[in-house]
Amino acid sequence: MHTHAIAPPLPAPVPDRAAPAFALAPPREPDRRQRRLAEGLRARDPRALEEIYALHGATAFGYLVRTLRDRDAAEDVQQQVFTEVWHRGPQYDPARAGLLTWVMTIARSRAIDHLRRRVPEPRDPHDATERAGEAAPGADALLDGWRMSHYLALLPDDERRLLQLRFYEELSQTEIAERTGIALGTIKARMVRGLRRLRELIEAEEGVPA
Amino acid sequence: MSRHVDAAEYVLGMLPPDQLERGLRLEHEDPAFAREVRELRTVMGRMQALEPDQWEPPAPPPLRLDQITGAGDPAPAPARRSWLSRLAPASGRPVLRVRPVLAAGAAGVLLAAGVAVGLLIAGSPRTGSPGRAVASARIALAPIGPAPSGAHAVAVLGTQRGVHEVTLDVRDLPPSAKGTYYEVWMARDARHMVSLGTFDVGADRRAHVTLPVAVSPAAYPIMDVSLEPDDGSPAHSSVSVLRTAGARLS
Repeated sequence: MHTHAIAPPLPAPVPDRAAPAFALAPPREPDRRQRRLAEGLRARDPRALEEIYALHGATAFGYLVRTLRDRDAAEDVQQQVFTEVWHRGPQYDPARAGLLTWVMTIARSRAIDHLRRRVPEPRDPHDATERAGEAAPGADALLDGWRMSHYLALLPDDERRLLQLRFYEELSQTEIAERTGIALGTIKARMVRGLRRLRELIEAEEGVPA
Repeated sequence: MSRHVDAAEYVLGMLPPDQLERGLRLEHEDPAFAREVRELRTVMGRMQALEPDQWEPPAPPPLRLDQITGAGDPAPAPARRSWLSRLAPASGRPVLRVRPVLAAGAAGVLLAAGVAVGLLIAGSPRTGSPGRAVASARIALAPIGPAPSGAHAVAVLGTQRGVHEVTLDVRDLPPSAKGTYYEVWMARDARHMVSLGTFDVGADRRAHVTLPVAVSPAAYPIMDVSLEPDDGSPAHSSVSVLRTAGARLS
């Protein structure tokens, strides 16, 4: 066997990539559903994973499609994300992070892994690390947007639709009434209810939303 | 102070002029009202920042539950890729580099009893699909040589569609420096070693690679990770950084 000695380079430690770059307040208190799902994961109950997928699959997938800009790749990574949710489920603690936050943290990590792999060969390993890091700017804002998308999806359709007309299409309440044929008073009541409900959902998952 | 002003109506601009004036005053004078207004405006700001697909998310693919939950022993690993793609660069850029001389004597050797590697090949309990690995051997690798004391790895030996493979999950190794890489070996002793492939460690000090195993783990029961200079030599550098816990190469 050929032998020779080399001086192994030992660069200084860097922060662990697994740690989320964004900071969220801990959830106020895990709700009953999150606790039940966490218990289901600990018990290795596939129904818990199915329910988590029904709850968060669309949000994670939307985030992955946007981040990777490749639907096929997003489908592959989506599978990886929920495989990891299943494998790491027994360690999930709903008192430390809301379920959505936990799932999206995994999605973010796997998306970065995928983007890192996409760097064409041959490459300098240092370049690869730097390029993977390029995925980070804006990534937290993107995650924040997808969390918001999830909260909106939990609203009744009529409330979500009115908020969409107001905050995405930027219609006035009068214009919304003309567009939808819904009475102005009803529009106001639904929008107020939807806004309040959103605030409660955010507070439950992330803590105080400000 | 009595409020009589709904903060949500206030931020949504729904109040008539007299109540709007009261709301403006409350926002300056009532900390609780001001806080509620601030929180609701934050929610509104987040809605205004949403993109079209975030209002109407794409439908996700169906959950392949059997593939996930039927995969056997839990491991923090992404889903398996195709056989060809396993030869292509993955997270740790594995490259198959079988040493012909050393591999020749070992290739084709089947699993044997009496070693600490036991593969249980059986159908999935959920799908009944044949030839799937439902259990596999896990090997802990401990730091040696110049590796930091916290460095470690777990190797999971398994079989995928009849092909033996090892999935290595490495933690806390120094990132690969320019002109170096890490290499995975299976060894019987210091004279009989087979390279399974190479990988890089990124800034996160981790690597997760899946490599085909062309030799019998029974014949080559020791796993070793070396730090290699990119000098074209196919031999082990003699600088091992991880090895099967408690094993010695002599």
